[in-house]
Order: sequence, then C-alpha cells, then structure tokens
Amino acid sequence: MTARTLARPAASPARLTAQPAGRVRSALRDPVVTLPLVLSALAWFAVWILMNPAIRFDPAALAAMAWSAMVLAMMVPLALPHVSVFCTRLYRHQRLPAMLSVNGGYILVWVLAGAALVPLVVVGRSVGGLVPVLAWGAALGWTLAVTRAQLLRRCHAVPVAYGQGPRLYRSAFGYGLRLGGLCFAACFPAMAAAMVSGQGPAAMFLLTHVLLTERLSPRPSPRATASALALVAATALIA
Amino acid sequence: MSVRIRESVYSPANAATTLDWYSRAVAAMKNRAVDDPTSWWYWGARHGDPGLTRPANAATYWDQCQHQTWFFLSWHRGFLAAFEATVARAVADLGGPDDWALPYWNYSESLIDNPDARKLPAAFRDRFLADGTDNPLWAPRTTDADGNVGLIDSDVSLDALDETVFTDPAGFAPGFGGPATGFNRFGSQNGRLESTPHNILHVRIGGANGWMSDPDTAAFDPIFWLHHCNIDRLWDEWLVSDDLHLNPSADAWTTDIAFDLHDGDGNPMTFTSGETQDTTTFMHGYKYDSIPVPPFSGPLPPPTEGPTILADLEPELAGATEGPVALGTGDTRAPVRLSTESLSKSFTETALPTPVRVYLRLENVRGSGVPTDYDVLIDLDGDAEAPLAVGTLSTFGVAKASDPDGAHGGSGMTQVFEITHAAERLRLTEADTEAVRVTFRAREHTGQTEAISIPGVAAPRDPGEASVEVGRVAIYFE
Repeated sequence: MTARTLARPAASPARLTAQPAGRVRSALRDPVVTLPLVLSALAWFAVWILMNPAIRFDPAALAAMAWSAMVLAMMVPLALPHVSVFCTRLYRHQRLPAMLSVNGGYILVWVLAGAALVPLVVVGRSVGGLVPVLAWGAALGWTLAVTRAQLLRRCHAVPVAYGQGPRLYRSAFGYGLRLGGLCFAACFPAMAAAMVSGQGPAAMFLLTHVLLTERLSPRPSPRATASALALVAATALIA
Repeated sequence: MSVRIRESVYSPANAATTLDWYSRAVAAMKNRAVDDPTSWWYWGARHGDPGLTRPANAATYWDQCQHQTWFFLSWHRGFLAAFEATVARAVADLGGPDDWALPYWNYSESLIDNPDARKLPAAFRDRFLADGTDNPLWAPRTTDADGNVGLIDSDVSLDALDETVFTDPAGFAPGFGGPATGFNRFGSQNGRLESTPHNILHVRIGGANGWMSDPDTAAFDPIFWLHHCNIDRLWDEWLVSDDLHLNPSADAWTTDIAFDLHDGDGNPMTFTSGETQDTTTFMHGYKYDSIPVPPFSGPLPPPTEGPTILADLEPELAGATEGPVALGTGDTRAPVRLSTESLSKSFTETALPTPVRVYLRLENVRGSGVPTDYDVLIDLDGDAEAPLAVGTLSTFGVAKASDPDGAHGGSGMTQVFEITHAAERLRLTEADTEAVRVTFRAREHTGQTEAISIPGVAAPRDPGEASVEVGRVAIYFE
C-alpha cells in the first residue's frame, strides 16, 4: 500500500478567513449546542406560564414544576460553554449522548438540591418583611466572597474523558454532577434571593443575563457582578 | 527623541557597554525597597510573586504575567518596554547614555555565524566580579563554566515562524501567538512561539533549582529580560516575514483588556494589546537592529470577533489513550489506539475526504514541583524503525496550571504538535494502523545549582516533588 499524500497548505484560506460569526452559525448547527438552547427556550416558556398568578394548581407541585423549569431555563445555558468543550474532545458519534449525560448529572444536582432548599425559600417568601432584603444582602455578600470566586474558577476545569460506551457516559455523568455542585454553590443564593422577593420571569431572565455575562467575561470581576446584582435587587425590592 | 535600537547581546558594536550599564542599573534597582515600583524586586513580582512582603497595591500589579493565551506576546511586550524605561532611567541617573536599550539574546543564531550563540553571555556567568563583589547579573542557573545550558538545535528551533495564523480561528491548533482567552496567567494551551523556544529556554536555564524555571522567580534573573527581548523580536520577525502574518484584529485582543504597570518613573500606566503593535510609537518607541522597518499593519480593520461557543473548522478525534499517563525519569511509552471505526462513522463522511493536517494533542497536562522537559516521539507499536521526534513538552508553568484556584480550576495545560509529516511517514491515515506509540523522553539538565532564595523571601522555595501527568494523549485529524 502506498502512502497517501497529505497536502499541507502553506496558508489555508479557510483558516485565514474563518470568522467567529461563521463559527457561531456552525455551532448552532451542532446538536450539542442547539439542543440545550432549545431546551432552555422551552423552559423559559414554561416558567412564564407557571409563574402566572392566574395559574391555579397544587402549591407544592407548582413550586416543584417552576423550580425544575427555572433550572432548565437559567442553568443549562450557563453550563453550555464547559459542556461543549468536553464534548468536542470526543468522537462525533459520542458527543450527543455525552452531552445528555453531562447535562443529566448537572440538572439532577440542581433539582435535588432545590428540593431540599426551595421549601425554605417558599417559607421565607411567605414571611415577607425584611426577609427579601436579607436574602439579597446575603446574595451580594456571597458574590464578593473569595470562596465563590474559587468555585467559579473550578467550574472552568474541564476534564478529559476516556474509553467508549458506558464507561465514557458514566464519566460524563460524573462530570455533570461535579459541575452542577460547583454551579449550585456559586449561584444558588442569587437565585434564592430572586425567588424570595417574588420575582417573575423578566427578573429571572435579567439574573441569567448577569450570571452568563460573568461566566463569559474575559476578566471576571466580583464587584462588577455584585453591582449588576444590586441593580436587579433594587428593582426587585422597589417593585 | 528617536526610537531606541535593541541590538544583539553578541553585537560587537556596543554590547559590552550596554551590558555594563545594565549591570550597574540592576545593582541600583536591587538596592531599592520592595514596595518601590522601580525596584528590581517589584519588577520581578509583577511576573510572579515568590513570597515577598506584598505592598498594598500588589493585587493590581503583581502576579500579572500572561501565558498560554493570545496575550502572551503583547503583555510581555508592555512589561519589557516599561522595564526598559525603568532601567534606562537608572542608567541615565548613573551618568550613562540616555538612549540605553535592552539587548536580545539570539540563541537561535547559526553557530557558523556565532559559535557562542547557544551559550549564556559571559557577563551573566560568574557569581562574583573580578573585585570580589557580587555580580548583579548572576542568578542560580544550570550553566557549566563555559556558559553551556545544554541547548540543542531543536530547543531553539524557529519552526514557529512558519505558522500561518496568530490565533487558530478553530481554537484547536496552537497558532503562532496562542489561543483566544480572557485574562489568563496559566492553564490553557501554549502558542507555538511560547512553546518553543520560550518555554524550553526557561527550563533549560533554570533547571531544578534555578529561578528561570519557575514563573514566580523567573523575572528576578537578569537573563530573563534578554530572553524575552528575543521572543519579542521574533514576534516582529514573524510579522514581517509574510504579508499573511497578521495580529488579531478583534476587540477582544486589541482593546477589551487593559493591563496595569508602572512606567519608567514609577507612575501607574495601563496598556492594551492593540497599543503594543507599533513598537516605534508604544511608550518611548524602539525597534530591532535585525528588523530595520518594523511591522505595522496600519489602521486596524473593524472588529469581527464575538462570543465563541464552538469552532467552525473542527479537527476530529482519531484516537486517544485509555487513561492518564504519568511521566517518569526515563522513557515513558503511551499506546494510542486509532479508532478506524469511529473515523469511518464521522470524519470521512462529514469532513474533507482526506485529512490535511494531523495533530498530537497532550491534554490536561498537570504536575507539581519543577519537573524537567520531555522530548516527544511517535512510532508504530512493534515496528523496528526509530521513533520520529515531533517536539518537546515543556513543563514551564505546569504547577501553576495545575493550581485548583487558577483561572481554569487546575485542569492543567495543553500542548499541541502538528504531526502531519510524521503521520504521513507512519501511514496513520491509511485506516489500517491501529496502534501508535507515543514516547516521552525525560531531558537531563546540564548541571545543577544550589537552591538560593530571592532576597526578601525567608527561605528557598520548596516547590515539592516534581511530577508530570498527561491527562490524555490524543491524535486528531483535520
């Protein structure tokens, strides 16, 4: 068998002219990216419906559904940059199931942790008074904490995966659990504060924007994030 | 005032004079207080703090070096220019010339033209001067008496200058200048120039105990500045060597991040990567004797970059190790199984009919201490041919990249080698080869130096036991 010639272009025109706009368009054709985004969009629609005061439903079931929808709407996009890096290191046929495995672990952490803590949020909301102010104060204080900055940096650690089949997907699920744990610890106080102060979908969308901006910032600044959160808090408390 | 001219340290014209004034200025700067922004100690800590008493503004100005990022070259250019201004002010205050400029150490120069090119310049070698006083230019290094640090041709290879792009748009290949990132001290992927010769020189000179091999002590060694001056010169060499060699035009590189420094007088200043492009107008202005007409691309094109989620041109995994690979002191071999089944399912159906590039990617390289470098070779498992050398895995900064509190949570660094020609020789793309063997061959240091602490630091740093682990060895086709 003769060796196939591998052409090595001196300057690949495709490489030189590839632009990020085209890269984003290309990424949007990749189900590893589009599926979570579509899921998030649908969840935002569900959040909008479930938070409508006109909805009459069992309060506990409604809270559970609203929480699950909020996790899907707000948190899946936050994890997307990390999950996509993890998946692009795999064989193409492994990427979609791996993405589902990572997100499965990630969402499971949020849903289970929420099941334990959301009742406290509901109680806090029913008490009212200074509770929303205290909740936002705690969220702002946590945003400025060194520990939270460390948690966010650890969110950036994307592991490599090995092997094929169940071994690979177990590893991906484990990565999702770890990422979910870090993310929950970093972001739950802000989410809880928004819930305690009875915020609707618009405020939740704004909060997601603040958290996503922080994740994508070239030089994250806790002060900048806290300032943005303070604006969200002021809006929530005045409203 | 006209721009300063940076000349080779081996230039016969004025190198001795330049180094003599450098030595006197360094001595003067070493006598300044740690919290003086013009002191030697403050300058070194800007790159990395080894444990000095931190001034109130340390959070803004210390530990700022940029590595494994597209800011590597521009940040070090600003760092170098402001340092040059500080030294030049000290030289002028000592009665020296008012146009003093940093010399560069061109260790890649042909040995026919300069037999001493790979040797540490003589002024830096001896611990004591003829009069018995300390040599201000000395620092603990691994050199022998003749200034040899064990550099071989491949250590000072300029293959990086053949790279076509500054930053790979796909975010996969190393590119000349490194990957697009935010503010990034360590923990990503080395650009080609940063990898070789930059990283290799650091570890070769510093060895196990010297200052150059640790990012937190490197800039305290006076040779650091001549080494980086040469790296800065090679950036300009790359730009002038081909019209297609361009700096990034995106706002994310040119303007979005401003770096903090002090100028030659110790006044706070900021600079962006875009401002460093024209060396004749950046700060006091300078150019290199080897590049009479410095590159400048003129007005910047409109910004085009935006948030990046995934790349367009995306190499595909062809095979990988089944687990991490711990590197030892001799040869460490890692079998990589190529998945022809996977390739037939994905690559051949969705991408180009044949790969045009093949990459060896060492992912999530983590480590501790100050490990040595490793030559990387590939061959087919079981064949009788000698393995093919594909490059050197330099461990400079690996401990920083492994810090869980680092920018990337301690996931280590990534080193990518394009192995297209080796793959062709080994027929890796014939889809009938399943077992590739990657060998990591530990490099030995030329000599050892005693551990000496930075003045002001209580004791020599104990970097801990040296270890390196490659998270995954993978081969990708593009």
